[in-house]
Amino acid sequence: MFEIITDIILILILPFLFIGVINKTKAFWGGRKGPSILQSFYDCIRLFKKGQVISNTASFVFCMYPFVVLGTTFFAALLVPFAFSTAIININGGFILFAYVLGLGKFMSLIGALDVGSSFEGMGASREAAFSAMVEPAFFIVMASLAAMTGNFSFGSISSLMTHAGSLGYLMIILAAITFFIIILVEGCRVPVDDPNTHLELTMIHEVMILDNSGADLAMLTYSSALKMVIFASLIANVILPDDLFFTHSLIYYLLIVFVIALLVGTLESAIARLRMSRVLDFIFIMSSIGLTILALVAVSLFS
Amino acid sequence: MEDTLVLFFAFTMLYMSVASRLKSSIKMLCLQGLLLFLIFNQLSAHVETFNYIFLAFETLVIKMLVIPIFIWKIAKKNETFTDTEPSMPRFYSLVIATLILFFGFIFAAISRHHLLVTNPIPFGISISTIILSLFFITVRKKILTAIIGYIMMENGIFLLSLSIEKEMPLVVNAGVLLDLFIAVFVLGFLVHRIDRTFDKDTMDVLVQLKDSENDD
Amino acid sequence: MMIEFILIFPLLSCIALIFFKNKTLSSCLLIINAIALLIASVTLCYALNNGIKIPSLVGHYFKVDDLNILFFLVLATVFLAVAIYSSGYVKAVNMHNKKATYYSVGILLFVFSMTGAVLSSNMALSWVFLEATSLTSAYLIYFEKTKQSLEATWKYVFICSIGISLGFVGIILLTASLPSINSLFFKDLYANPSLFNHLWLNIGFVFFLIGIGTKAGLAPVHSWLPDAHSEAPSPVSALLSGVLLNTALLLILRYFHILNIAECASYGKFLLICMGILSIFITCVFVLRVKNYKRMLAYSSIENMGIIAIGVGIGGIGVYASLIHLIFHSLAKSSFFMTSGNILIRFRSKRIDNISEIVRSDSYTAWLWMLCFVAIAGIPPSPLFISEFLIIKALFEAKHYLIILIFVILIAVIIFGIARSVINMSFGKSAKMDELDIVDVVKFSWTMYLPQTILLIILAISGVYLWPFISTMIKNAASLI
Repeated sequence: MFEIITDIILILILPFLFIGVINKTKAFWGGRKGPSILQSFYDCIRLFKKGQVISNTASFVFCMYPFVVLGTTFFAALLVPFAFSTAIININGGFILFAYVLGLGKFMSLIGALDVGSSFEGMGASREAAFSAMVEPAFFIVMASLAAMTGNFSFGSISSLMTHAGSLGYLMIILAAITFFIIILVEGCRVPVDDPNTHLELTMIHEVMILDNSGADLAMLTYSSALKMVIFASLIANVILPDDLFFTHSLIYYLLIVFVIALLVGTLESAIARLRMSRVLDFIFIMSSIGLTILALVAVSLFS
Repeated sequence: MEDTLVLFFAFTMLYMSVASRLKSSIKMLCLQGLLLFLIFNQLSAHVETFNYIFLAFETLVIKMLVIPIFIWKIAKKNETFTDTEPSMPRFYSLVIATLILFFGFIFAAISRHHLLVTNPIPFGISISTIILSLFFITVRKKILTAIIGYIMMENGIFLLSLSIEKEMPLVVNAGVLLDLFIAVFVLGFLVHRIDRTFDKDTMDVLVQLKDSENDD
Repeated sequence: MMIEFILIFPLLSCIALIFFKNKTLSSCLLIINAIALLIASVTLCYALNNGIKIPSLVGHYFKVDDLNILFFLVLATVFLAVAIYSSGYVKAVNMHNKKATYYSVGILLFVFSMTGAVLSSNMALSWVFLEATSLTSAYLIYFEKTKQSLEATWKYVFICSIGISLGFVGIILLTASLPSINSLFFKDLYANPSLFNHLWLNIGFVFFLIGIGTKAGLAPVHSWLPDAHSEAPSPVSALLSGVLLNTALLLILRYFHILNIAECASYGKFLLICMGILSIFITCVFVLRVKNYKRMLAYSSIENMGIIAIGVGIGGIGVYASLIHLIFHSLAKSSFFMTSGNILIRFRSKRIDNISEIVRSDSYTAWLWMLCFVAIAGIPPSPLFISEFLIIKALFEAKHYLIILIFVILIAVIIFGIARSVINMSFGKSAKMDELDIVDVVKFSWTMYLPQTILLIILAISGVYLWPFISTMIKNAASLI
């Protein structure tokens, strides 16, 4: 019970803090003081107080989709283990539900962006669709490998990996961590996949999809995007941490790891440049390739 | 442990399929030499000293230092630093490379059951490395990249000879190394000559000799 | 001491030639080496047949047995012919001293590596020497230093090196198939045929055949052959076509023998026949449209290698026929290439259309050209007629009627293709004739006609009457395949 309440509080407040830490890190590397850590929280409150401007050519889809995105992301967050090794909703085969709930949200955001009728958003939608499509096989391959190794088909298997890991298990942990980190970069639209600060037509991907949203819609979309990053950061934390820790230790380690991941994202964003558009696909797909080879190695070692 | 090392060897081949700068390909060659040395340490525990020293020398010095430095010198002389657009988009060559590696693992699984190989993973990966190197040689347009593909094929053959349980006599290993060395020398010299004669070092200058119109 | 002498003498000659760069010295040393090689081969043959043992320090690694004595004799004969021809060639092309020295050094090193490959008694050692032949002949192919010869050299070295590496994979799989024995000497490999693992052996043979088959000029891995053999200088082409292809084939035959005695040769035989038919088919397609007569001769080499592969694949009397075909094809093809050298120097063009009525400017060359064609085409009294006839007979006995049909049709078309070009070149009149200036002030020395004449005489005699001891030697060799 207590764990469920803690998890919900984390779901509500961690995304804002995550974005705040990333921005602070970028400011630090840039030699600036930067916005405060709670700045995105203030931004959301400000946006909720404002009215909305909706295009004449938009239909009900455009008005509806931020709610769908928020709802699906929130539901996906319920499926994933956060600070403690079990999720709020623990289903066998939960990762398939998770992937496709997020997929529903992604689909709604794509058609919502197309609904405005501007080619600008269409361009962003097509790019975003390509990158998300490349990420999905990597995610499934990693989950399949984990399921193959632990025999457990839910997210709870992730945590149990650490407790009985051989040398192959350590390889799986590293692979899973790297894959989820790359997914953070893709879903959260960070460098090297997409630059959140740029507003040039040539280089926008996610920003251009939400260009026409304002007011409460924009607040919901920003929160959902940050929540997605926190979800995958939680997955990384659960892969690394063993599942038999005491309650408060588990919480503290979890917060520490999420904080470190935010630092890493910020550092990466300051250190490297965004890849060329044609190279981004290679970059994302190579994760699938690496995942596939490791899966094959696991299969040959375990099942021959 | 050697399975992980062989896996990293497979990853270098994956990286080669998307690398477009020549320097990264050469760095992959060095990395492959180092990995081969580590794998050789793991796999052959019962080798006598002289053979061991020779093979260590071969992997560490020749495959890791001498040959990459030689290729880099030729690249600098030809002023080739990047690979031009290959014949198929880089993404597709990555997909094909992944499929070939996956096939290598399937072959490893088959060989464990039917052929009773004791080290199936290095065996399977070495076969897929050989096939993948042949694929790179055909797809890439620069001639220097073709030579790098040939060297990677030789690395794959070396891995194959490590994974079979029999220990190759010293004479055989020495002979193979000598042939690889001199072949790379001759090929490098020829590439330099081609670049000087044709002023371009891609594969499409090598179309002079045809059956239909050939004049002397 | 004979074998050490054979191996060391070319190297010493090379060193001597590098110190004294002299045209006449290089030609003389080349001929002396060739004569020494021929005497050594005849002596070794006599010793082998009469059971005399010659003491030797490297006798463990280099050995003469029934099979490679044939190849060695062919090597020595062709080398002598090429050496005599080269002495005239060097003068006719006006090579200066340095270039002539490098030419002779290149040929000596090339022959040294081929000798090593033929005589060695270890699978890996002959593999090493085969790769060495690639690298030493690369310089010779690039001798003219034109754009085309550079491209030909690149293709040759690259494709042959890849092929030989694949052949090494075959050798590795061969060692994997024999778990108890750890040596690659032929006598150890042939000693226990029942211990081989058939699956490994067959997989290894596939790799080995494809790999060494690139060196032997079997389709579909033959693509370097027309370029390399046409761009090299003519005596070098004679050596390449006449001896190098044989050496590669010897290696394949050694491996094939293991398959035969282990009694799992059915897949290998099928593969050999397939590659043979493919070679003849590709030659048939290309020889009709080729416009460069040296390329035409190179394609004809591919065809003959295909015929030999079919003969070996059929078995029985086909093996005996293949060996006859191998020996006499080397003699005929090398004299063919040497005559093409005469034509090239005289007309300075490699195109068939540019050359006509050789008989007007140099009637002896024209007749040699025709007679060489008669020898290659298998028209009696050429011994190639006997070998092709025996192969068809072996195919009959094995009841492969469809293959006989394809074989005969394709060879007939090939003979037509070559005959058309050869007869047009020798005797045909052409309107372009008067526009081309012919260098007939150049008088070739007798050395550029003698080797071909002698080889053709040998061929003509052998086609009619094959001496019994040669026949016995070939039978003994066939039993080792």
